Amino acid sequence: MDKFIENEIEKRLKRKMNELERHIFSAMWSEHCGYLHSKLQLKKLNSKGALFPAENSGGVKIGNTGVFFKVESHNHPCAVEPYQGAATGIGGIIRDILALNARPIALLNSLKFCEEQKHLIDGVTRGISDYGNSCGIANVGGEVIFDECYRDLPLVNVMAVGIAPLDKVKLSSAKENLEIVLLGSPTGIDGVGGAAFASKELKKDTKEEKIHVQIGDPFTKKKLIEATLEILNVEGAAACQDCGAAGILSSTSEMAYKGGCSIELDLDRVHLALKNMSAAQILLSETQERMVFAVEKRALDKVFEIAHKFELDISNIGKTFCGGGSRDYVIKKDGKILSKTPLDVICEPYCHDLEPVFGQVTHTDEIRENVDVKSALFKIVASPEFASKEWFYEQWDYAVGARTYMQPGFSGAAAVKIDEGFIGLCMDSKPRFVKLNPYSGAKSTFLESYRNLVSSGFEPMGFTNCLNFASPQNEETKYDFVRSIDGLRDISKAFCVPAVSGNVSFYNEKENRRIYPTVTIGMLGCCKKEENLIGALFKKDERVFLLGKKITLESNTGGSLYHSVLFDRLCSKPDEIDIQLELKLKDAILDMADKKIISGALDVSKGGILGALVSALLKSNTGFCGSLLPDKNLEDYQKLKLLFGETEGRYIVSCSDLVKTEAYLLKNNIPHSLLGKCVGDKIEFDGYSFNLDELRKEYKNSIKNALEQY
Amino acid sequence: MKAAVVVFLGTNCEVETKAALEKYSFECDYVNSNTKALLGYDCVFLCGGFSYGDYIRSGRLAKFTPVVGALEEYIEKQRGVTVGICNGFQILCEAHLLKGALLENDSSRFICKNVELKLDFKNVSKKISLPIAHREGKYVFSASDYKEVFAMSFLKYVDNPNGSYLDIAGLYDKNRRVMGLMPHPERAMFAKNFGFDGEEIFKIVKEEIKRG
Amino acid sequence: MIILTYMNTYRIKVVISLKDDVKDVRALTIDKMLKNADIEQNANFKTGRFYSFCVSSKDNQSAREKAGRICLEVLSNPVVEKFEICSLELVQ
Repeated sequence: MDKFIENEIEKRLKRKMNELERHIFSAMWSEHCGYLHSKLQLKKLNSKGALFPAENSGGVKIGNTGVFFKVESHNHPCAVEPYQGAATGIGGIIRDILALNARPIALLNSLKFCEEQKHLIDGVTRGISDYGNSCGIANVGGEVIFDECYRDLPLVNVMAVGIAPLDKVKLSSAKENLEIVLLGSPTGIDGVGGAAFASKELKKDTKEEKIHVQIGDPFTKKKLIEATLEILNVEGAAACQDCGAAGILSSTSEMAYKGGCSIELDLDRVHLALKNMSAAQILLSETQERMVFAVEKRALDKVFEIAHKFELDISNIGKTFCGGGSRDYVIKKDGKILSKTPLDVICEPYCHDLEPVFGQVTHTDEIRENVDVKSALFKIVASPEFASKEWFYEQWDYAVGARTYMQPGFSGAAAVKIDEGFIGLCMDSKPRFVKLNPYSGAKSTFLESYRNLVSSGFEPMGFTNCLNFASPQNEETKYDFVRSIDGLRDISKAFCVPAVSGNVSFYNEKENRRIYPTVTIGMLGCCKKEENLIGALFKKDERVFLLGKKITLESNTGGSLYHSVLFDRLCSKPDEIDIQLELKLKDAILDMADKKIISGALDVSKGGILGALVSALLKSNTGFCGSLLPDKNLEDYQKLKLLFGETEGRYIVSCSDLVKTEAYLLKNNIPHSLLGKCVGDKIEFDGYSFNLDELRKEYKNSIKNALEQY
Repeated sequence: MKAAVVVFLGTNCEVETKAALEKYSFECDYVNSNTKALLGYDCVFLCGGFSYGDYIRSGRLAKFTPVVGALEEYIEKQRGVTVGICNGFQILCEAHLLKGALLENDSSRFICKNVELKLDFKNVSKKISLPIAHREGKYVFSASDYKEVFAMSFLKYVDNPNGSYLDIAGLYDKNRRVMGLMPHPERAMFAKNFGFDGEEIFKIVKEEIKRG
Repeated sequence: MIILTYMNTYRIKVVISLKDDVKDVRALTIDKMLKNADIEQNANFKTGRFYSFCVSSKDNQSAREKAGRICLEVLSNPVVEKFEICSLELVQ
């Protein structure tokens, strides 16, 4: 333990720590549990309009239903053991949702890999498949990004979504005179010290970290989900908390601290997997598939009965009480009190404020090398970041529960049925943009999700985030982190879309190699009617319009995918954001969907205009003929910029009634241009012609070929 | 008509199976693995999921439960129609209530997608599309059963996704009172993107119950 | 003088299983099921995988080393699994 921290703790305790308390504080005052470097910054985020943003997971209100969602990282465990790392990552985020008495109904994931590290990609994919599918929660979407900066530092961000009737939601604060019950797998020594592990840089040889690997048990998790939902509806079941990082310690101390009472645990009563575990091991074990409840005494019998029905182990491990003036965390074992510590010292660790040295290198150089459009398009379509992610999502059960109305690959967002209509879900990140400029990059990431929802027919309601950064001790990371949060705060206020929950993962670095600052956004939207859901595909004879910013050489296109695929460069200035335009486009698209004016829509992102057009056509049964370039006498590098450059504020829509659509767009003053018509079976524009089947082959098979070749 | 939907620990498709049955105006009860009274039901559905985590093998541990014992009696007495979907099909094979076995897919990976199928049941013969979602769905049988299995298969993949022998996706037993299939008809009855062909299977079940 | 090194072929049989401190969730479920079905109360299952293969080596000792390398680098996941060479026989 850091000398400074030790002094700080003992100053607040007004005494020396004993052995057990050293363990307690090294876990609770770790970055992973205590958010030491991020807590003060995260307070800046806007959560106005969010439901319970201070709980395990926040949410939004749709009708009489609370929809809760949160994203969490499991980066470090996946680097060590990808299969179990990914599995337990899902397990953890499910419990966060479950603790609110919300039934988990959907999962999404945002994965980042180095393309060459096939064992990591395969392990993570199988881990998600075996665990998520088995729990019976549909895995409805997400994203996969490949970049060299993620070598040995894969990012695995998982999002879970759950629903609960508003009057049935349970919170995590435990009042006095409640019994504390631990439900689920017997506590063992697996994953002891995991919280501390996730709060440091990876060592050279990851095999050294073996003792921290947690083992997921999807069958027990499925039983735990059903049992928890039954228990929380028992009269007298008051509060619930998931047992994740820092195990029993963190869950029980937080429950009591939030409820403003004292708590006493008798560790002899905890059901164990091994004999002779020490107090510290029992408290800190991160054995998976456990939940903690605070229940009234009268409910105990009923709760135990439910546990037995689901063949789960359960024990009554302590109680909350009114401690007079002080609020304490009391640990008993072998009949002796081992520790009595004020809860506020445990739960309110010392927080560092990040004071970055401002000043960022700007990359203003433009690319002037020429590559012909034809080979450029093939390269981009076959690049793993652009290509179809079918290989991934076909291994995940996206349809279980029969709530999925728009599955992965169909649209920018997934559609999941709830009683009040449909929720739209998506997860996005734009690491290149954040690297170039963290403030605008974070905003741009937010907008990527925003536009994905809008183009699928959803009104955005709230977002969650996962901030993956390198070590907060280094100046550049500090700057990137603080500016990213500023960006998210400002954009979220401007669009009145609150941050409902979030997670931070620091120390994503190894031997002085750092990941790009990676802001992952998970966003949720709402759509009332099934017929207003929009797919990202076109039908024969439809017209295709570009809405929003014009195709012009004046645009800024820094961070575009074509820069990295064709030239392996990350340069030039990212585009500016026009908030008024974005809002106007959102209103127009949702209104046109409601009025049945448009039938297909997608936002323009990776691969620019041509990328968007091609990705829609590859899913459709039609070709396209039209014009994209404003001028034919251009150098190749200029054409690349116009066709593949990524700017903000653009959508592509398709419609069957040209006159009606144009009239609508003119009347509402929506900037637009007619790109062409869906005809034939080729893509033809400005003298270029592409065979769709050839492109489709590249698009569909490129990831499979790259990953299954050994 | 009364239907029982069997819910083992680890089963996870019971809600949509019940909803699909109710759409076909069945009166539906969930029954757990300790149930012994099945004779009151006109049909019994073993639905999808991962009973007992599919540990050891898919469907293996479920066969030790009382409800599977009761099911043997139910089938023996030819009381009604038994349908196993996905994990249910695996359980029926493991319990030897249907011929053959289900092994890991040739790709050794879980496959979730919509597939084209050919349905041949008595006078019905048509192409339908249903979602599949399984990792152990490769249907195999011993050579000596070839003739029987060939005659009893009613559902075949058009483009075999998992390596099943004879492209078999579903079959019934010798009395046509037990049906097993890997695709999920209950998922193809609600959303446009998954189609509505699941109804074909439920129609057949209903007719077979009426046949008595 | 010419020294001839004769290479022998050995058949190896190995079992890969989870390390002792790693929870074997499959085994625990099977235990519970056997208990419920009243077949065995204390089955204390362990799960694992069996492999059999051949290596060419000059002697018993080096064959064992080679087999160990194959187990460690190819067959097992050393983060959570251990291996045990159950038999090693000279193939005539």
